[in-house]
Amino acid sequence: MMSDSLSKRKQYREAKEETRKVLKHARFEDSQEVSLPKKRFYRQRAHSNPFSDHKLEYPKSPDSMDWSKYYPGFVDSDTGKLDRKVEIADIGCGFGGLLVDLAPHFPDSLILGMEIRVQVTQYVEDRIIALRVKHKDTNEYQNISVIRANAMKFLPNFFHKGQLSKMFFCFPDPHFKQRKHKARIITKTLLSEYAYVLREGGVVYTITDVKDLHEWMVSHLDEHPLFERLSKEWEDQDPCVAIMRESTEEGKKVARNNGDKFVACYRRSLVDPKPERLPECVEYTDDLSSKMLSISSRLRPLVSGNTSHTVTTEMKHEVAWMSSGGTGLSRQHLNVQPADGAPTAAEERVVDHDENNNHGSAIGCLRLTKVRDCTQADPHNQSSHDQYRLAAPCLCQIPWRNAAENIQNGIDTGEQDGISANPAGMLKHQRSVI
Amino acid sequence: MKHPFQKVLLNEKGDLLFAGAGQKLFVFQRRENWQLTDSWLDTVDHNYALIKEYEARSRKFEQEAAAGDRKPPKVPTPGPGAPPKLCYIRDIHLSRNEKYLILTTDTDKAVVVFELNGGSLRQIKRQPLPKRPCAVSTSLDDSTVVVGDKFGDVYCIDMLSAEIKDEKDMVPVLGHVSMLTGVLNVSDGAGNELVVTTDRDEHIRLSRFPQSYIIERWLFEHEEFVASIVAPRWCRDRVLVSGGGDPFLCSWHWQEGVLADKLDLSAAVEPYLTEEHLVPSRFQNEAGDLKEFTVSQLVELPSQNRLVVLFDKMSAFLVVSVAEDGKLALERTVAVASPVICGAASALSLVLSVRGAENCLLEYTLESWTCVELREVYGCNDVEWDEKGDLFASFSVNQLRKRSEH
Repeated sequence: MMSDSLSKRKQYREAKEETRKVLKHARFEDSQEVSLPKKRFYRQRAHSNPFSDHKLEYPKSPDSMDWSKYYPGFVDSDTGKLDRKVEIADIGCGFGGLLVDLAPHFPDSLILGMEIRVQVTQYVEDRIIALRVKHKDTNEYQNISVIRANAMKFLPNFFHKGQLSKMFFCFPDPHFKQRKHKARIITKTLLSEYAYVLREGGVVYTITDVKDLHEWMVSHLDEHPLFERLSKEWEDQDPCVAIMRESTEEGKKVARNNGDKFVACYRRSLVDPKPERLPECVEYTDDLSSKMLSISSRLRPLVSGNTSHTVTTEMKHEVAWMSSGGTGLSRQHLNVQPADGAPTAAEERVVDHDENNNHGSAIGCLRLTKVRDCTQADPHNQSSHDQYRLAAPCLCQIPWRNAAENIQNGIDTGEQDGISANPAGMLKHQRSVI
Repeated sequence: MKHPFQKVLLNEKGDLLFAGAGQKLFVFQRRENWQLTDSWLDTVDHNYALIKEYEARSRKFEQEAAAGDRKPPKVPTPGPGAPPKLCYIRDIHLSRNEKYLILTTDTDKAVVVFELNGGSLRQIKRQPLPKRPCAVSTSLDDSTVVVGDKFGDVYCIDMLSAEIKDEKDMVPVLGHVSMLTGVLNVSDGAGNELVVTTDRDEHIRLSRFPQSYIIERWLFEHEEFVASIVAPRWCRDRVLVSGGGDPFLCSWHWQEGVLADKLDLSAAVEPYLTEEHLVPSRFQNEAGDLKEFTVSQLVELPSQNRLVVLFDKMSAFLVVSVAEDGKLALERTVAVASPVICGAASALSLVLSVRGAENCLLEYTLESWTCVELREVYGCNDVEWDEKGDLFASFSVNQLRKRSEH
């Protein structure tokens, strides 16, 4: 009995495979009849181990991916390539209910389902083929496609940085056991990859009927610095949320059983946050009379306590950085060398060339950019000062912090606390940089 | 028979040699000859995890003993079918300032940090991790140990603070869904720090550091796992070189995310392929002569602007020059008496650990590529090895190859 039904399913799928081979990448100019596939022939257990080495086909890089096979309706006949990029991804698309419902809502966007289970992927392929054939007059369903893939491992092989505008995670495998939690599709570490493929402002949609999983996803998304939660009001007005609630197979099953559905949507933050501890640009005027300037308070936290910092410009491209603390004075001369001798934009490194300096090792990097040249400035403007933007994009973070700590603690050399104030390795490293 | 050294490391000056055999680390200092100055044995029981769980249960039982008639927990013992536990010192790493030595252990899956004082070690901390650590780097300022594990997660451990976290409370700073094979902190030359992570899939990922949730880019070209990645110092933060299961090396202009050069090694390596390199029968061709080779390690020779390329189970190594713009060129092939396990280089010499009958440590002078056996070093190795179990199986980098059927 069992083997009977098994072989029946196999036969059905083999017959469908023949049709699929022919039609998967076709444009359906000839009239053909293809029936919608029947789900029961494609059932497969609901779980797949995302860590195992499946025999997967995936492109070596996003550039080497040939999308034309998947969206034959959007191939530019001149170049043979797609005229647009995939923009919406349904991760773990299952039987493709969401894809099919999204298709008419975003007729100009390419939507891709990614599914790890072979037979389920084949079902979706067959379903899309049947729909395309059925609607060949209106050219509908040309904008959806499906691919067998392990999105947890190979998402960046498919998509460029910032390519996607929406990602859907509908009723993902809950992986209840504690030790299986890394197999969950939303984790803080994987979210970094999703943030990479999402454009700024792109949206992650999640829905589940498992409250524990919902709370897990929310906590991980909340913790991730690149995602911010969208409000209940936003969810209520967004058409995708409504589709997501109603159209997937799981969604329908949950509704039949009167289960709960938990939705959480997050927006990819607009910009990458500035690196921690790094000061922002400081603008100053190269006022030759004073030659002095205080760096804004953004710089000061680097060197906490009652220290203060001044920058003097002794020459156009030489900046000296002085710090004075309660415990003593330290002074470093930092040479800012123009990269190419051009006076307009000097971006170069700074070295502490006094190795015997005991207080701090200001090995850092300042970017000095001329933002206004007095020779080209408005002649009516009486102040004939060049204006510079002094950016400290790194200040080599730690040496400055060490310097700060050492100043603060009054430590002459760093020998006592392990990290030396003038770490030889660091100097060596920076030397090699320069 | 003595256990060969599975991992060796030299400091830059070349007067300190660290060698790991089994669970023991040896430190040698060169005065006139190499002299053993210190050693350290990992004495933690290899059933660390089981014992820890048992202790926790026992404590719970004692606390609740009054409550009823429950049985005390049993001392856990691995069943007869349990796979043997292979415990090694997997990785030996020096901090950039060469003041600290970092080891990874298999017993308690820990990172052990030592302070170096000449040739002697002082243990600072031992931080167990949830999964087996396999790749170590230090941040550019040497304040943090960055360690990747077999589960694909990367953790940051403060190098000096005495605080030890429970491994369950460790939070990864980044993660791959694949075993990590390399972690490397690099500077972009403009003062930004990045962390490069490579995995058993073909990925090389570049993330900011310490803001490792911001991925800058991936480097795509490899078709097999990446086993080793280096940032040659003479290339001024511009170039990475990587190798692994592919028959080629890649060099990268990583800041632009472009491949700088690709060097095919097949021809150079071909004469040294043996039966050890035959593809397993299930994946073999009809003639049964399909062979494959794996780059197991890239060793920088900073005084030479060259890399030494070591291969899995191969009795030879290659010397490859890396130009400042990342161009790769094969300079020479050097035959070795026995298959090479691992290597390390200083400004003066290259030291190789090989799988021979005896005296399995060779030192090469860099220009002439002549070698001497370091008998006095190998003589100090007192770790015995039961040849019946092929412990080397666990060091076969080639096993990282993916051979999937479904």
